[in-house]
Amino acid sequence: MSLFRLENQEFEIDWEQSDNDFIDYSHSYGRNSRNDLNEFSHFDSGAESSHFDNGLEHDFIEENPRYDYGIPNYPDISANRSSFLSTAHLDQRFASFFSFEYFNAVQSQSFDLMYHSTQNVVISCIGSLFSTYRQREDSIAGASDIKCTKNKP
Amino acid sequence: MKVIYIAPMKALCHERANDWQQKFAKLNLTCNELTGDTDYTQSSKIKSSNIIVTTPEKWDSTTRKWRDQKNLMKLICLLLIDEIHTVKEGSRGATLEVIVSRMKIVARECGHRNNNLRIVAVSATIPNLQDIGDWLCDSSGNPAQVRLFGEEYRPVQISKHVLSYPASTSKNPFQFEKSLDYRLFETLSAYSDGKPTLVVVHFNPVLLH
Repeated sequence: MSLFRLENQEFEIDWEQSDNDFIDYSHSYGRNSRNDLNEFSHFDSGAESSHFDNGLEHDFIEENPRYDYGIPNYPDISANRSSFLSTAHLDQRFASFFSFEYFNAVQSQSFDLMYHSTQNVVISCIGSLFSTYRQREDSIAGASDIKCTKNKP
Repeated sequence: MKVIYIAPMKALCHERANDWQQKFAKLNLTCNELTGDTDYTQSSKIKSSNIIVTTPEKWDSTTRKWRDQKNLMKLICLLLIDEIHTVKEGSRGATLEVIVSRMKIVARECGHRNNNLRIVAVSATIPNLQDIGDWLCDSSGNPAQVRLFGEEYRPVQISKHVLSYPASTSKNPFQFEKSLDYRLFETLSAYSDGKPTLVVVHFNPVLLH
């Protein structure tokens, strides 16, 4: 599963409307709204003060402490926006890269690791239906939630 | 500073390169594609670009004599690997394995200042994900951070049904395929429940038992 195709695909789903059980919307919206971003100002100032001639030349990662964004651990995605991280947490120059306002669940959960650390990372995502199909063997062993039906020829 | 992005298919590379050329132009970063389709005359342009989008095979042939171009290699600070689960696929997987191992050696021998090479890999579901994480360790041997996002991360949950239709070996496969077409409506009305439905037909002789 491609990280970058994920950005386009998964976010296009309109979860505001697709789910009947979205509640708490107006309340939770404030959590990630731009008004609340002041608390991250230490992050912005660190990056702005640094000289950034070639975009990647200066390593501002070290200067910024890791921050807990208050994103709850899954599963809460259909319910409210506080499960998602706003793209405004990125540096201004990078935020314009994304055509959307909020990261999807996977991106939100891995943001801190990707943006604020220099560690090697492996991200694995459930992807195509084909990989789902491959779970058929598990499902025979009772390890998966797929229902199998055998038909007569 | 250079970033290498490795994806298994030329088409995917092309798509990425086109997208990133536009996006990174804002930051004065250049992005170029290096695949089997790339014109040889463009090689100097590619060498000077910040982001190189390539396939495992092309990167393998480019870096086989990496010791001759150490100055170039030590600029690489980030290696992005898309679809790393392809490492299990026969000879293509072996190529991917070779280039990752080679890049680790490069990082060890000519690490850029204090920065080590950072490897970020993205994959479909792998049962032994931690093994991949251990393999993609940094130069001091710390395994990579592993994040697994399972079924519960789908924006829209999917209910899955697997139906098997054994084909008799005497039958013509085309005839059998046709007979599956006639079952489509019946299947859809049984499971779709008025919701969007994907039907995947995977014809695999091994699974016919």
